[in-house]
Amino acid sequence: MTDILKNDLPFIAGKYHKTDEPFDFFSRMKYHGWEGDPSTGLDDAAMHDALAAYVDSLTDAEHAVVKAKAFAFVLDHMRIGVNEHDWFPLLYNWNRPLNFCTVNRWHGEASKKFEPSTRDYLNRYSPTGDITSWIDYDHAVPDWQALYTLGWRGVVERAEASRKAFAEANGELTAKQSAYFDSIVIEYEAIIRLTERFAALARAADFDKAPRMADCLTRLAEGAPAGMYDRMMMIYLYFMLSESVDSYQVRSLGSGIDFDLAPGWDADLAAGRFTEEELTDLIGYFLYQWQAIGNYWGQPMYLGGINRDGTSKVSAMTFRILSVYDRLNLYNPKVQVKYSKADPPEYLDTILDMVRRGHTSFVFICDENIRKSFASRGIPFERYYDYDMKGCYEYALRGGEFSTGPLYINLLGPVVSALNDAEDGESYETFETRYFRYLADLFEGGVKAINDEEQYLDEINPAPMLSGTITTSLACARDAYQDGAELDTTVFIVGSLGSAADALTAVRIFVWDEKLVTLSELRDILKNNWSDASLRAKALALPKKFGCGDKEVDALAAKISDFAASYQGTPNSRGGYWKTTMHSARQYLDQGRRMPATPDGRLAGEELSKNASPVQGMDRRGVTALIRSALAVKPSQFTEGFGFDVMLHESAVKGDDGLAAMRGLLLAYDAGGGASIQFNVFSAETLRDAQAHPEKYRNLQIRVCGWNILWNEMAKSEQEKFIERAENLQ
Amino acid sequence: MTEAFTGTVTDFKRFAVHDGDGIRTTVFLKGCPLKCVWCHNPESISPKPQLALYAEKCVGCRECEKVCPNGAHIFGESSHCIDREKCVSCGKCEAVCAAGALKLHGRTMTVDEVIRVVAEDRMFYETSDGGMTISGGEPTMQPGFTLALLKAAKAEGIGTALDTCGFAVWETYAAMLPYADTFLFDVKHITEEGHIRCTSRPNGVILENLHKLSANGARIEIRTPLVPGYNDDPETLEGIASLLAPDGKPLDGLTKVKLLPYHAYARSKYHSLDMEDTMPDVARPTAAHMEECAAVLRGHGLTVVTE
Repeated sequence: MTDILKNDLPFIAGKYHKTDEPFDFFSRMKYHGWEGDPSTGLDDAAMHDALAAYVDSLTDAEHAVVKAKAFAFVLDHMRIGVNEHDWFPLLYNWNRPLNFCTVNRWHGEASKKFEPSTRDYLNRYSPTGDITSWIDYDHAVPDWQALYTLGWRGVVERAEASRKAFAEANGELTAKQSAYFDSIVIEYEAIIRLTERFAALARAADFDKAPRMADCLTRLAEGAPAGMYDRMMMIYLYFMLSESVDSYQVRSLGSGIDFDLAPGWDADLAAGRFTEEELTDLIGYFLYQWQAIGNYWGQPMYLGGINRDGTSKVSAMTFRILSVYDRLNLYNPKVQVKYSKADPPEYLDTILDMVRRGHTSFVFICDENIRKSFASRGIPFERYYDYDMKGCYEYALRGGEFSTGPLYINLLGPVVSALNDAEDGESYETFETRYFRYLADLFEGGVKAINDEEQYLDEINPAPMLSGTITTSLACARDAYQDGAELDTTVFIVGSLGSAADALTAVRIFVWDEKLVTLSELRDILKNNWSDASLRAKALALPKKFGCGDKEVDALAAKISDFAASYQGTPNSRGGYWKTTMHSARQYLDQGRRMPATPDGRLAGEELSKNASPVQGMDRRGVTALIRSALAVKPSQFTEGFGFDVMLHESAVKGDDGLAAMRGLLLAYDAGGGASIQFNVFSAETLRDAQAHPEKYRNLQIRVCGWNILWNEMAKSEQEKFIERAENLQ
Repeated sequence: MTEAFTGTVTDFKRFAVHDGDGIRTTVFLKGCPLKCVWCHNPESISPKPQLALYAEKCVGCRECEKVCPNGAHIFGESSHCIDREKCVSCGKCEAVCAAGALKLHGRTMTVDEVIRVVAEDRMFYETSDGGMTISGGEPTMQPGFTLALLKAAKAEGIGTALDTCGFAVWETYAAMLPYADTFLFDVKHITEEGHIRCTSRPNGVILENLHKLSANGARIEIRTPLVPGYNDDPETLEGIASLLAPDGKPLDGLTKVKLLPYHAYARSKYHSLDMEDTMPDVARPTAAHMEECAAVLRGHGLTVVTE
């Protein structure tokens, strides 16, 4: 590997936003870094005005065609650039430029059609922090294998062939069916034209990288990708165009990035296009694009898995990618690591060693258990063995399943509702029954409301780019994200399990076991944000907390979890069904902010427990007890995902003993039915130093709920909680 | 007879990864015949239960005062201390201390109770070739209880290790030999004079036990805390090396030597127990110095790991 860290990557870091200016990664697409070549297209304001006029001039009735034409207009007028420091071109107008006159407008129109009961549900439970909801277009992964095989042109040809076959089988197409095929053809033909423009720009440039960049882009404009660089270019362009123009997040780079890039390495070498050293560098340039793009959740990609015959997919390419990732000290893309007994031992050891040296961007996926989870849905092995990892922890059938995540349910919320209604003198059993009744309302009301909303997904935001890659969608002429895929599923995203189990336990102990307060007294204390400080201290100090391996609390957590999982399989409105994931995303903060004080000792507005992890700092009996608690709730029963974070002290993982111990933890979690697990390895001293000297720790990452947060981006209070947590480890 | 089934346990450490192979639960027993000046577990020297007070954590709620049967908690305007004459270490105050400022070291437990705690982490032992380590204090101070724990763990299919200072009658080790997979055996000094300076006791019986364990097929890991000014000089290290590898070949059964750098993190424990702080006022050895010391031992054909 050459010195690309010094020579080129600092420049690429400024590709999509200027690194020496303030940057809010929640609004990342609003920024510009490189200016590109102004002669190639419009600036954002001009694009906006021209597009508005163009869309107003369209007479098409079908949204899919209007969106596709707007997409093509944007691509045809996109300002682009190439740069001597980079092997990948620039797309300048990347702030979802067509949404204002299409998707956003259609969302407003569709929401007028929602049932009144849908609005009632959302209006009632959102402000209290019980739920959070939005229409979700953030969980799409194309069929990458189809893209590699077909190329852009092949997608167009296959769409036309599918249209013909559909007409032969079904007679004349409806307007919507015609629009479906039209939209795919329009979008992919626009992509081909844009690729040609990129190729021409590179061809005219006179820096070292330009000729081979031009060759690559020409190959992609004409046919299928030929080697590793071509596939990387295809992944990068698809990603940018889908996320930034078509408004569908692409939640995995490739279907196993090591598996996808391996054949191209040999092909590029054999054709003499690149040397081994250049190809190694290219891996670095490719991965670095996502550090430059700067999405806050971290762009997912995954490694490993098994082949159809059960052998490991781990290859020399896996280790090449890891080596580059390590050397460049990357944190974005984040990496899901599928692992099982089929893999060579050095695979896990290499990654564990990186984790203990401070790489926080890895999440380990218990491959065998996830496969069992697919089998539990009645899906045959041939179909699930190569499932896609997507998002933070989610799994889906490769090229066949699109799960939306429109509803975040806060398991702690119904404790407040139950307490508000409870009557002095009632039994704990009655109180717990109230809790589950309120929880049932969140699930059942959610199903009704979201099923209503999701009828309109393709009316609001049709998905031609995605649909063009999906075989089943093409066969039935229906939008892949709406209901045209093999499986279109909808997900309850469930969080704050630890907070809920701790809160119910505290109520039981205070009101019934120790009779310290009555229900109404406790209610008043909480309404006044824990006016009884000594009772609050008791609540925080209770030894019975989730995450301590306490059988009673774990059993209660398991009961809550089983309840959440029991709604899996409920029909949705897209021909599929509901799934559940135990995952908080950012809701542990947002819902927490909306919630009053709770019996677990939490003050009003404070954060909730994250994922399936305990309340921060309450896992006082060490990592083995913590893992036992997590396993008690049967992680792999959740068919969409299960997030679980573990913090280890630096001293516990050093040396051969430390590596063996990390491996032992992972294998025990796996053997006990685990799903996914991620590690933060720190010492309190390191974190204190980082707090005192932020300038020395610009790259220090904390992994939170599936994505990394830069230490320096965290609020001081959040930093304090992490430091406190690290101190407890010693 | 009672001792065979109950013992005094100081504490448990789960996910102990440096006390033998794999992931382990270390059971710390109360009582030690040595008084190492650097002792980092002073709470385990006395065989009796002791109450620790971490005064900086005390929030002054005085709940402890209410439950103490002997009036052992003394509060000043902004201070809290314990009258050691009055405290009987009953632990009632620990149970009501929400701030976590009070901790009782030492409680009577049966063999079954200890094994139940240890067995909770069985799944981790199985995936890492780990198990239970009995440490202290000095476990051979409670020989019947320790032997019963080792036997019970083996009967449960849990791996065992005994962390010992070597200062016990040979018969105690002979009885434990069939039930301890590994002996973590301390060698703190080589000369009698040096050993007395470090630990207050001579080392003749310790060296004898080491040779006997080796001769009787024990698997042994040597552990030597390196304390600047006490045992880190070349002469002492050469002596230790000659003991462990008399003919340039490690003693039978000796797997490795672990050099542990001295640190003073335990100082607050002495204060919490109102014990005289004997910890040397010397700096933690540097990594470079640890490597120099390791090199001396390696020169004799020993496998050495440093922390």
